[in-house]
Amino acid sequence: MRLRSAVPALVLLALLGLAPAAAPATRSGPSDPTSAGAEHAPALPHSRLAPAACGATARPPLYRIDLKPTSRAGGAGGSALLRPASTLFGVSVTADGHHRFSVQVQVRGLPDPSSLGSYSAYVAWAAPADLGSVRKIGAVGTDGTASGELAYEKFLVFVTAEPSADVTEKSGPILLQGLSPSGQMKNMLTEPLLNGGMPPC
Amino acid sequence: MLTSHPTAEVPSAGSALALALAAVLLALPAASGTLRAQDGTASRDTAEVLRRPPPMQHGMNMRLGLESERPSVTPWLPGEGVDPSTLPEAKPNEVLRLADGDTLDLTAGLVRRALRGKTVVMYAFNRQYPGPLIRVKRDATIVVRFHNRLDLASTVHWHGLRIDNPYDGVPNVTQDPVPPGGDFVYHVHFPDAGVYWYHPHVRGDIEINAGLYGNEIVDSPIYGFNNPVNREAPLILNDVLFDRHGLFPYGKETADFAIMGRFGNLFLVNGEPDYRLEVHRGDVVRFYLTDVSPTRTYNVVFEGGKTKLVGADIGPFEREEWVESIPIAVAQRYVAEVRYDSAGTYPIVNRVQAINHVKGTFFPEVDTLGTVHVTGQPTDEDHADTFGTLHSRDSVTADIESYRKYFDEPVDKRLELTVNIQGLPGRVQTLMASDTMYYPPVEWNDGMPKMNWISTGHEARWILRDPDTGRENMDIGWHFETGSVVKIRIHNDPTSMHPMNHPIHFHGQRFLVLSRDGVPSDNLAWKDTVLVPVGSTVVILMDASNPGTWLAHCHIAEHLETGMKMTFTVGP
Repeated sequence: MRLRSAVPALVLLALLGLAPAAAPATRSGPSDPTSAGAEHAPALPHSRLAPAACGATARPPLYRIDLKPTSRAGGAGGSALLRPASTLFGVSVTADGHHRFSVQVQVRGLPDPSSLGSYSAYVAWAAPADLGSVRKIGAVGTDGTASGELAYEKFLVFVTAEPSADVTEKSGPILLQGLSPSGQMKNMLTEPLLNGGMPPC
Repeated sequence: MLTSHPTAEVPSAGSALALALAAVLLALPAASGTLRAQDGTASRDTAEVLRRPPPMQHGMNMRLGLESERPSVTPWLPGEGVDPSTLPEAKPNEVLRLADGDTLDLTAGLVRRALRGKTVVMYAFNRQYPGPLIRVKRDATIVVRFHNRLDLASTVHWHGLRIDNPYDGVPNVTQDPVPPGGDFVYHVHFPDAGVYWYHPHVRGDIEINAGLYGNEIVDSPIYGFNNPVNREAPLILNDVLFDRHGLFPYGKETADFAIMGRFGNLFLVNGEPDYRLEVHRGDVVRFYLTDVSPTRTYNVVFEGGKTKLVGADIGPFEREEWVESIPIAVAQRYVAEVRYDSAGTYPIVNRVQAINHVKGTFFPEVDTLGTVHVTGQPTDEDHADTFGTLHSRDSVTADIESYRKYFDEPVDKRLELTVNIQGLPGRVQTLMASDTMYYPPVEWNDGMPKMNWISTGHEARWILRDPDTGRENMDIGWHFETGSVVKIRIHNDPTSMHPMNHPIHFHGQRFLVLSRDGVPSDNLAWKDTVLVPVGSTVVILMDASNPGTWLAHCHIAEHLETGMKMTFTVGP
């Protein structure tokens, strides 16, 4: 399945994801959901983060994607929480070596889908950064969540308005979108130029 | 064996333009250094050849102004100054079926090997690659007379065995290092069925990587403990770094490649660069996998066969399961049965999504580790029915049952995994700062080889930290009462300067992995080494029943050499 209508917006998003001042890079908050709750270990003091001036404190959470609203979504927001998929081994990967994650999408502040047109549901999707295919994560339930499993390295998560929760292909407008933490990897050659000749600190 | 690296991701138009500009600008000041590196090595003297930069994966030509940077260690190779022609040629290993009370003479020495058309000096136990396969029955005890004939001090550690403490082979913890020319006698007891391995515990980044490793397979006396198979095949996975001069030098004073560990580019299975196995159509093969590489985590795929996962480090899982691949980290073992239904030649591959940290891209990497040739001749004895059934191991479940009451108990001890890096050249430090935005859960390849090479134990200090006491590494010193059952939570800090996956090994005991990232394990096996990916939290339940002072450490050889170890005592 190809994603056609959203390609320009998603390409733009991908480019923004490469920009040094991308919003997720400056976000703070829980480091990752996998260390949250009962098994959560306390955060390390900043004095132990090296280098002190750059990098560590700006690094986005490893297992959380913040979903940002498009112009049609107003003040809505959300997140996609990643958790390594269950495995007998120490790490969960496919036979091709893609990391497998359970993903839980949480949305907030979205308008009633019917207010946007002939839509009745919101659906969460994922696509690799090359937009080669789109995979349905799931329909957003009344509790504002959708769950599924992913096996991508660098990918986008987005939420669309759809005519039905049962759709198998994306057709409606994108309301929320976010880039995987791996999308924040910098090109060491281009980064100094994009950042005015300075490293991205 | 062959390595394929398909084209990396195509950058977008915007980033491609910037890439081109940057390449031009950055190449200018680096040009002369690059030329020197490319044209001069053959005519240089030995010292300069030893200081050559490491080979890199395709597409990772790092022209980032690092051409003149070198690690702060003296390059060193086994058998320095020794004429290889005076050394015995290494030979494939033999299987030693030993009985209770038997004695084995195990000599670590220099050998000559031919790899990729080069004659190189490596290490070997009893001149064999890998070391002799020791096969014993459970509860046997053997005597091993170890003779160190290396050019380094050494010991033998019996990885995974709940051995008597004085024979655990840890220098300055359970014994003095055995100097070159010295000897030591180990009494090796095998209390649990499973697949184990033995290796030195001195400069593992050199000694293990250069050939000092071997398996022990401990058979259960219980009839029917193992499924019937047509063949058994140990697969010991190692990777060495190799170029046109031969083995790439190691750091003499301390380990180089200290950040990510040394990723090799020559894959050795059972010490062979060209592992081959011949079976008949319909045969079921039981593979015993052991990862002895310095740092590499593999994702092993058996092409052409259906794969059933049977066991882990210290015996079987509660239930057999079908798997597509076997991700195996350093020092871990897995037992898998594979049935080959059709004639043909099938590779055993390592298939991962690698990273080019310089470009900030992923790319698929497929390394052929060996091949299995399936003849057209039908199997002598067809085990299809048994193979096609997933069995439960009631004896394993029963053994674990008495520990279930501890599963929901509070955590007793916590460990944080992190790193402190200081003193690298300014250019390297700056480039690493450019690379701090993302680290994968597992580093499957060396995505920044030259920066990694330049980092040594002088600059990088990997850390086990007890957050409850603030103590680190060898200052931690936990104590557990003999017979206690201890719950330990291990968290791999994702916020350090260069977080990385760590295979954590506890000596002398066995443990269960209760949960990963809050998800309980529902199919358990006893283990001695657990992989903790970046950002992950793993909870283990350790059966602290074997008295003594023991080591726990990251089994990435360079991380161990740069400090990532602690002791714990089990006693009254």
